[in-house]
Amino acid sequence: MSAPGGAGAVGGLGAGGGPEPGGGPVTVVVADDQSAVREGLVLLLGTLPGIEVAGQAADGDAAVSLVAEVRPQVVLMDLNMPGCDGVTATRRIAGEHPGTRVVVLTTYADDDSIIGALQAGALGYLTKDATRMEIGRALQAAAAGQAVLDPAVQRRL
Amino acid sequence: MLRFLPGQPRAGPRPGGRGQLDGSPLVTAVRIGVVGLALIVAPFTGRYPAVGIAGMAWMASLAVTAAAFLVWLLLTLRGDALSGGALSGPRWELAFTAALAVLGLSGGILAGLSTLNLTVAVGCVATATAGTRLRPETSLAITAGTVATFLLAGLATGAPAVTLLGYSFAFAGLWAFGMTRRAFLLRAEQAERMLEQARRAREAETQAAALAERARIAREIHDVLAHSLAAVSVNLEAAEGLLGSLPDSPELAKALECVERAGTFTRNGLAEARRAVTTLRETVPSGEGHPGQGDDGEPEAPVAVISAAADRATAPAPASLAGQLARLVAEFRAAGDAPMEFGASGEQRPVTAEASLAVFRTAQEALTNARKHAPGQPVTIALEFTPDSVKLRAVNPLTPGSGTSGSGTPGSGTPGEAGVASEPAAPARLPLAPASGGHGLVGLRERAELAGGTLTAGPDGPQPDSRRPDGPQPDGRQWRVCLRIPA
Repeated sequence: MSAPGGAGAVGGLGAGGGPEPGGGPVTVVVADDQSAVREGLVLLLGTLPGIEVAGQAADGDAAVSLVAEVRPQVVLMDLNMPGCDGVTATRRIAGEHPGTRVVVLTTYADDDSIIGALQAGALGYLTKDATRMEIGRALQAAAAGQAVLDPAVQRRL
Repeated sequence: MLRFLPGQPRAGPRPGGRGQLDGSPLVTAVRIGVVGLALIVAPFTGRYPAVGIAGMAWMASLAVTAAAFLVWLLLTLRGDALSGGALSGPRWELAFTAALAVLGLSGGILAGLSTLNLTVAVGCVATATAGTRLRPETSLAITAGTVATFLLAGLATGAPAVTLLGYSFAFAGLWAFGMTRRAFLLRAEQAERMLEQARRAREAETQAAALAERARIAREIHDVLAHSLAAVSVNLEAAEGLLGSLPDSPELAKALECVERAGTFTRNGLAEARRAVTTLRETVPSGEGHPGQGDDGEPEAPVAVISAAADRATAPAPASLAGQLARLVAEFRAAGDAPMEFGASGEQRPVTAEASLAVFRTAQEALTNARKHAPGQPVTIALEFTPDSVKLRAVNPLTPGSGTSGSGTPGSGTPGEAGVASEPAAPARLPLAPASGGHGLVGLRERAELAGGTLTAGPDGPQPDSRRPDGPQPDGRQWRVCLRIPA
């Protein structure tokens, strides 16, 4: 049982996951400038079966270099970060590492920058009050290259 | 108009209403004084015809002039004393005009009959006053009349041409003087009016700036709150997950319950903060309020289709409350398969952001609850504007079996909130998380009361028994949520 944290660390607790799409857990990098959110997300993701935290970053630049180093399948990217923000980082990752999917994370669902992020190459978005299940589903779907699904369909899963 | 009357404000109701100008009381006093003096002194000084037709004419004219003078005096003095009396507005103006006309004409006769007498002053003052106080056409007519009568009388008594010409010019000249003064007074009044307008505009601007500043501050506060609550929510979810992997125990169950409850309140709080931020931004919460997972009755859908999100964010947002509600109902309709209806009645008008929020959120909660506890049943939302309030009514028939449970938790007894059925008679399409009891309604009632209104929710049946929260509720035919906010 290792505690997740720090770049390159491996996320721990799987609650006995079932078969994952593509075999093996989905590797995720978490990028958020608020440490409370970032560390909470890392812990949260650690409880989800089939998801493994490959690293965490506190701003856009760190996220991009972490992605280059660790090559995760999905990046969970906060939009509002100082310095290199979420949209710019998304654009860079989409350009330099097309194999890595980006799901953006916001406080407000009607944030204008969501559109910017989607245009920059993000695959979908989550709001920070999502439940664990919703986050898990979103990340799994993103890893499979699917656009994040309509909530009505999601409910039937 | 006159300062003779103690306590009368200078800018008070003017004699004759809007037609009259605010002149100088001194000038008026002088005019009146001159005429009065002339009339009184006339029989004793100067030369006037005392015998014959001329004599009688002179006496008659003097009498008429004196009468007209008295009327004029009366009208001037009583100008502001009676704004609503028998003599006001156009009637006052008419009387005034008539008095001046008579004064002028008979003054002209007097002057013509007695050219070396103070009575010429009457005609002069009459034309001057007419020029100042009356419309140009009218005063011109009076002046012309004065000159005419003067000439007639003068020619009849054989006055020298020089005198005739001289006094005619005097009458005309004083009329011109009156007109000049009129122009001056008009301009002064206009300047005053513009000053008043500017002052009022400045006041309105200051007020608007203050309101905008308040809104900005409120928005910032809610913004900070939203971000904090988001962080709390994430961590609560993490805690829930971590606790869930521990071996079961009753304490753990309670702890998990606490965490879940905290999570619900956090998400609700976050939704409120978000909505406040968007409302204070004066736009419709475009990403909010669509039918979401509804796991705890809160409406957020954190996961969205890309194109749908794009559409929603770029589509023009309806600015009216009715528009917002119509959109909300349409979204719920599209996401489920229950027929939904929305109607607005009464004269629509903008209401305060507070009231708007309360109505919107109540409708949202009602729709979500209806879908959760009476799925497939038609829901009707009615928005009504009355002159002093805005009302929202949400009605849906209950599926048999729901609505018969007691209120949420014993002791939470809020009368009228018949609680949420803990066993929704619905297929397993429902969300994964357990339904928690009417937190939404409690919050909404508080919000309604804060806005000075009332919220009732309960079954509408043969004997709606909302006063016994602990006992079983009667099997109502339908569920009704009523919100009324004074606005």
